[in-house]
Amino acid sequence: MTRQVFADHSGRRRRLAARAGTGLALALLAWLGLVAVNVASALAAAR
Amino acid sequence: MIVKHRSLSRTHWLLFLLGLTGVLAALAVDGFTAAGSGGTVRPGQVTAGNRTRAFTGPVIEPDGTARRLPDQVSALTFDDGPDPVWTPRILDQLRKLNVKATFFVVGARVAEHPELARRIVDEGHELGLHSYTHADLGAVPAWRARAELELTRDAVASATGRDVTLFRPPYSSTPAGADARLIGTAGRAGYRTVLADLDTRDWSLPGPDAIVTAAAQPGDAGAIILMHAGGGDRAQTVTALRTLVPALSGRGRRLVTVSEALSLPEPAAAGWEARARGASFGVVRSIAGAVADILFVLLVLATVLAGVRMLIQGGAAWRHARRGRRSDPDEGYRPPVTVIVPAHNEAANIAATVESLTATEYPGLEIVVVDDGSVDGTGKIVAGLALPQVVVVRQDNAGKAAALSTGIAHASNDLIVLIDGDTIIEQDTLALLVQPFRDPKVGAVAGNAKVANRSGLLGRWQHLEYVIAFNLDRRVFEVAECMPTVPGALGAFRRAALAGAGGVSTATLAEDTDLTMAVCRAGWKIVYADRACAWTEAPSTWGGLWRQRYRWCFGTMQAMWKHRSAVRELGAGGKLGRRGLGYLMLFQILQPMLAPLVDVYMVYALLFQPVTWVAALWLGLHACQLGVAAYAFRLDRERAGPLWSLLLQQVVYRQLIYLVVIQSLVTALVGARVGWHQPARTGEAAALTSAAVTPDGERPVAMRRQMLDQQIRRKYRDPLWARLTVWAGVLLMLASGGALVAGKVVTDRYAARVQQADLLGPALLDDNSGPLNMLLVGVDWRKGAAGLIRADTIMIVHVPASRDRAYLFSLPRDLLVDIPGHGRDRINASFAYGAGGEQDRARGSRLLADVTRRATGLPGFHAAALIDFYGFMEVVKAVDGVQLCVDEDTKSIHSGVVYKKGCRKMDGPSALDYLRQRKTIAHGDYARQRHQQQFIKAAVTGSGTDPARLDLMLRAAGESLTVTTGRTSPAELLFALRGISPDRITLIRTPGHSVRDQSGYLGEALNPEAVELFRAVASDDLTGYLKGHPALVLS
Repeated sequence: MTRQVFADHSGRRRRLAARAGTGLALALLAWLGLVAVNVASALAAAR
Repeated sequence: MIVKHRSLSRTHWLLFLLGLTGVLAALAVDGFTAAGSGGTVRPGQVTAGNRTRAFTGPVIEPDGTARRLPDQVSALTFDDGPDPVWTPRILDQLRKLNVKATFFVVGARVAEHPELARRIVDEGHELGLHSYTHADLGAVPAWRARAELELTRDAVASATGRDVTLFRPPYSSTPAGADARLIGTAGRAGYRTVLADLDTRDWSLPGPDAIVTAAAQPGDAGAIILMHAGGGDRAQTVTALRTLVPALSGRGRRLVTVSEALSLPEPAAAGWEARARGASFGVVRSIAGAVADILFVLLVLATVLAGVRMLIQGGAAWRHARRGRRSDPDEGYRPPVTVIVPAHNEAANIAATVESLTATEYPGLEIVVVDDGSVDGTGKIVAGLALPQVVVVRQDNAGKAAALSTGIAHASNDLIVLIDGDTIIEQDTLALLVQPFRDPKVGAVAGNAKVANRSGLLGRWQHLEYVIAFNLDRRVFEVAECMPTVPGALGAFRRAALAGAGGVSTATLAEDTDLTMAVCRAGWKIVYADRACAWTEAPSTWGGLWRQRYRWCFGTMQAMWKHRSAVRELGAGGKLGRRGLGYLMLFQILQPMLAPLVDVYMVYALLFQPVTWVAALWLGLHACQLGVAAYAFRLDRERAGPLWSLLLQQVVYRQLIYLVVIQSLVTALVGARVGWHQPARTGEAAALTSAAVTPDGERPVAMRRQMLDQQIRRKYRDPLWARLTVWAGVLLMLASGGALVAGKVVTDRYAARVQQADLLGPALLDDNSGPLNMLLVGVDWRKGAAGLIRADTIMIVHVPASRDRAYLFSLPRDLLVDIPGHGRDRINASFAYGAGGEQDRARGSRLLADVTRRATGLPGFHAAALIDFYGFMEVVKAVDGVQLCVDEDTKSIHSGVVYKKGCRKMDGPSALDYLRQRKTIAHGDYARQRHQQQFIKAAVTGSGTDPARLDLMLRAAGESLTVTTGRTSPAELLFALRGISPDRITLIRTPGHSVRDQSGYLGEALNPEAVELFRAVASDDLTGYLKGHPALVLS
């Protein structure tokens, strides 16, 4: 049977993608956290 | 093909949502904190309304006490910096002149240019706070005002290490009319508010001389001078400093910072928390700003892509259509053809498909149906038809590609047509499809697949996409000689081309694309036979559509990757690689990938950007798209009816298409396997053939286009009410969008044209919900004239709460009134007293408004307009004269001209001359007031209903006209008054009498009747009062 284009039998790309995805998710969470802290601090100062 | 696929986990959707949330958060931060985000109010416009109050000095301590600068001291203050261009130039200039000043800085700009804030401090100047975004703090909620102050304080702390508590509100000016509530809010939070004594209005670019004149007033009083160091071109300010500083010093004035002038303590060092908060917010803001910038670039890219695609599609379709009917089947070219129908569980449609093929009566047609392991009796159905030219081949389920290979192996002719098992063709489809093969270089022909089941929005949207996207793209590809896909639903190949491509490969899920690319690279010409139609059953559920598109999209990516080396090839392969794959990359992968960001940006833009350009962009793109779509429908000879759902397609369908692309890309990246998912067939395509059954109900006759059309129309016709509703909705939306844009443009234009200033001061009323009183003042200033400005005309417009009519009455200019600080005098003198030596018209008007309020007992005014003689003449000229009725022969004491009794059109100078006369006519000033009222009525006739005339008048008045409309904009006010037609304007006489003493004529006084009249105005009962006093109404 012909090998399907993009098929990854070793699972290496999947592991790489998982790592990259985790990194991206952490960066995004950090960003959202930073925004939340700053917004909370600005609102607290305004009270 | 074996359906073996490792399912893709769904975590990438979580990541996608997280990403969108992050982007939205960045945009929200940017939207709220970008400098200027609150700066939609023009400087000088009073927004504080009736919360304004006059303070006795420009510096207001936290406890509310106001202070003035000591005599002979001036403090230069610069608002709106730091600006990377102008602040350094102003600092350079101050250093040369050896002068220290106070800079009221905008927090967001400090966060962007902390080095400039440091330089200001390092060079010995003082810093003050001027809000974070330059929002009109009087117009925002108190919590936001406090947050703006704190954020700016932190930004300054982070940049300079100092804890600054001097504050100047944006759009503020002198203590005469300052927002008491805002100053109170700031004071309670510990801020010292610094207003100005002298406003140079340098932001209006009046010229360096005017700035110097405004800042160097005679007298010894201490003065805080307001100038700007950012927010626009400040070259005039820099130039003015060169003259101003020596002029002030030359008069012995000391030039110092505000704190030094008042001996205030040095600002304390900021705590680490404030510095950390400032730094952290600066980081958040700069990231958010960068994200917003990037997104804007992507939005531009997406818009350009959409525009370019439409241009390419339109141009190519036009060229393709001009090539004409090169494939006319009447010429008798009918080469032997084998049709291969791969079928897996196609019981619902297969009989109709095969019957539609045999009904073409194509000579010598061979039909090979490959039953790919169906379990629903597909093969048996075909065999049961017992058609002599049909061969049924059965195989175990191995996938479509394998089924096609089997079919090709069984085909005995050189021309091979591939069609899906759910597809119905028309009688002349095969003949049309083979015509291009007369050219031996043609290796494959793409047919035109049409959606048979157009019921419901989903079917209709797919129909639109087939006609607008796929069919137009095919025309593009043919013209550019780079066809990447001959659709599986209907296509024809030369056997040699198939063999050269190595047969049908199972390496991708889009075997049709893979195969076509291979044929194209081999140098064969591939064309699109747009009139060879095949009616196919499109997925009828969202899930089915998702799986089909996922397979197509992922398969296309696979095929593109497989054929990627074509990019470097010469000749036909290169064309496919660079043009075909490039087009697919840009418009089928990149463009959909940008789409979610565009959606997010549109939400942001609607919230934070001027609505005009968002609406213009959106309407413009959709109008273009509708144009291209209408053209595509015409080329495909389709009824334009379903086009109505094009706009709705943007809401759900477009998102599904781009999510599919993301899913496909992730699948490709992580290397998951994807199998075939065949959607459940409902037999909708087969149902079309019922129209073509003979009266005996036995054999289908040839499928003719008209029959199919009729059938579709009968089956899927939308109810009239539904179509009417949607069309009406679309028209309404376009009309309201257009009106919104036009309205905004007109409003902006008026706002930019009409000069605004505070003409009312404390006499301004803010509540516009009830009756309205407006003050109209005409002054006798002419261009180039010197001397005192006097208010020659004082009129009051009263609009009852019903807003259906207006009353106009005048006050005698010689009315004797008490003028605060000046004793008893004529009312027109109050303007001159207020204007003072500087001839400040706004100040003159404020005193006049105050005096008028006291004299009439009215609570105040909601708006005011001030015009001078020069502007008056320009207005009359602009409307090409005005129709005036002279009620008695009037000789001008100014020009000597006699105005005879009777109506005529008068030009500007004549009208002005006539309206000024009082001495030569009976009833003197009272008659003159009546003439002026008649003029106002004549001038507004036609303006209310004719925006062009109004625009003309406003433009003509130019700088001669100044208005105050409180919180509402002038345009909003005009809009509120739109219901009053000129014939509903009643002119009222204000009865009065002359007052004399031994020395002679003193002035005028109001009769008791006039006092009652004003009382009726104040209680909004004028209509009732006038019923009892009809003599007061002028005919």
